[in-house]
Amino acid sequence: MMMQTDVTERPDRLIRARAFFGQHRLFVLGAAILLVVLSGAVLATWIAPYEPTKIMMSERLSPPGAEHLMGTDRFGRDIFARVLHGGRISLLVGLCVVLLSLVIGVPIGLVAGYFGGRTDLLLMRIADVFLAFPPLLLPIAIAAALGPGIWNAVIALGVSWFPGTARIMRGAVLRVREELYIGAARTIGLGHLSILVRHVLPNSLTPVIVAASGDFGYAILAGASLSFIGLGARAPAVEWGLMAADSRVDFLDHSWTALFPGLAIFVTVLALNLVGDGLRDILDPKQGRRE
Amino acid sequence: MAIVVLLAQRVLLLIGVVFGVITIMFVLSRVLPASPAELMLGGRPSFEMIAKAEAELGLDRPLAVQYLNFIGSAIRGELGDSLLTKRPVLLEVRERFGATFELTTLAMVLVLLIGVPIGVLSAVRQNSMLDNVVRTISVAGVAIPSFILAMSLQLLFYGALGWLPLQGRVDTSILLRNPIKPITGLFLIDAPLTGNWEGFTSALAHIALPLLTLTILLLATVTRITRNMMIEVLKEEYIRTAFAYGLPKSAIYYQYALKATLIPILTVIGLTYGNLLGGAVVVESVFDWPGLGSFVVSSIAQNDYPASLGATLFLAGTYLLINLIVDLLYPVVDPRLRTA
Repeated sequence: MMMQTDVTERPDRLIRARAFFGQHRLFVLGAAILLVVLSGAVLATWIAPYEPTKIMMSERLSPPGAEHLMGTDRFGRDIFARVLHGGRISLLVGLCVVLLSLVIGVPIGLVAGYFGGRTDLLLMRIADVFLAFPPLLLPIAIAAALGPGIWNAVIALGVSWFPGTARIMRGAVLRVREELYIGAARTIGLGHLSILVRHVLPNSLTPVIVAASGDFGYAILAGASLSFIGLGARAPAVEWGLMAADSRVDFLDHSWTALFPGLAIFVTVLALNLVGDGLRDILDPKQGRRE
Repeated sequence: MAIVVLLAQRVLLLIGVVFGVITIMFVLSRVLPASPAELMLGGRPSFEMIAKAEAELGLDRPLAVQYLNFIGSAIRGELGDSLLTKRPVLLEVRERFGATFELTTLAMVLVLLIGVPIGVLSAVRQNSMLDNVVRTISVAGVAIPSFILAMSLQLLFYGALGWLPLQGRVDTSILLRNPIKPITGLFLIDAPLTGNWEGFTSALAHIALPLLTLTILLLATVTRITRNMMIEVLKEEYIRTAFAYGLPKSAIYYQYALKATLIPILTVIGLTYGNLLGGAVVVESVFDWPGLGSFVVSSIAQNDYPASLGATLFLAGTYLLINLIVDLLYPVVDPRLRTA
């Protein structure tokens, strides 16, 4: 009997894996692209053929070719090296923004949804105020007040985004709150804090995580946009939005200076969105698309 | 009667939000790296000069008093003077609002005219070729950085083809020789009204690229939202009933279902306008479009904080107003909401 189960288990696992890949083709594609982008960013120091900030005036604005895979910018800096290194900041910005909005938004949504009543009303009206700004305008205003710099941009984006996270969290908590096990926990005399942390929180996190994975790409886009208008990363930092901004003088005659950083952003965000969509289907099939 | 109650509720809520928005702007104006007085004086002012300027601006008074003053002046529309041009910010903002309004409203119309029918069609023919193409494009569409799209269009239509101008709102030569007389502030209306056809053609050529950029940027979102909402409508029981009765498909889609999609489309309008106003900040900067968005960016770059705060406040106010109008239109479109 032991032998038999051992033999049948392997093909079964294979079949299941194949079914998973077949069902979530776009997710797998996104994850694969993401892996490439991530390795490029992590291994940039070793892969990149040149230093990203090395100025070679004799080779300024050379078109893509064998010597420079993606050409050079007007200081003769190798664009391939800069695209690889630029991924570090962009991915880190996306991650930090999402984490920050989780750190602020999850507790607020948790408290608002669990206690309800006036607490809920007050917290949600505060969230409304943040949502009253057109997207990107509030981060711009906050970043402007804090002064340019990539970490200020992260703070600006995270602070502007927490209301969305809080709302989703609140919605999930409202459903979980009515579950029988919460009532049971209350009956055996657990305090609010332990009910919140040990029972409500883990059971209402899925929608927030799904939304956060979808937001990752938008966070990278927004971070690049802030850098582009001069409110994010600043030279000598290497960042994709900043590279696009730097290329504005040259891109009409030397399109590669804008094309490659732009493509890098597009491919990364697309991959993240595919992964986010896939995660939603896998983790939370009932939940509709969040708009 | 119910509508009056609804209106009152909405307006009360709006007043609360407006106070919140002003409060955020107040906090932001006080965490600036340099004191507003220092920024106003410029250079390296002495302590006495700073103290004098702070007294003039009321910055030496208690924070609570400053806050109340800030609210008062914001409500009266006194946004202070631009540090750069020394003119009232309200005046600067008003001059630029027309440019932003013209661009975003036209983009809105285009996005709705293209996006809504495609979204509806995609939902009706779910999982068809068209639907798959639409879904693929809309996933890719939201991943394009606005500035890269803007620059690519410049590269194509100005650099390679030479069909359209690179940037600006109208040819400089026209500004000097035969300027468009302002009536509404919208060049595409003012120019024909004053018979300035040369100006009209130039304005049309200049608005084409920023307009195209904003339209493409928002098209993916609008198509997707419309599609998802239409799918929900098609699941409703009265639609199933209509099918069961054997009514012709076109009647079901265009008379029964489409009416119900007016509500989601209203929601889309509110959302999209916000996205357009936000997107305009970056897109206007790329195209040097003389609107509020590029004004926000350039005033930030020049440390002109009253100008950037004022313009931000104005943009947020516009967005709130549009959402209020959208909210009030809901009961007009949907009779069920009239008895709220």
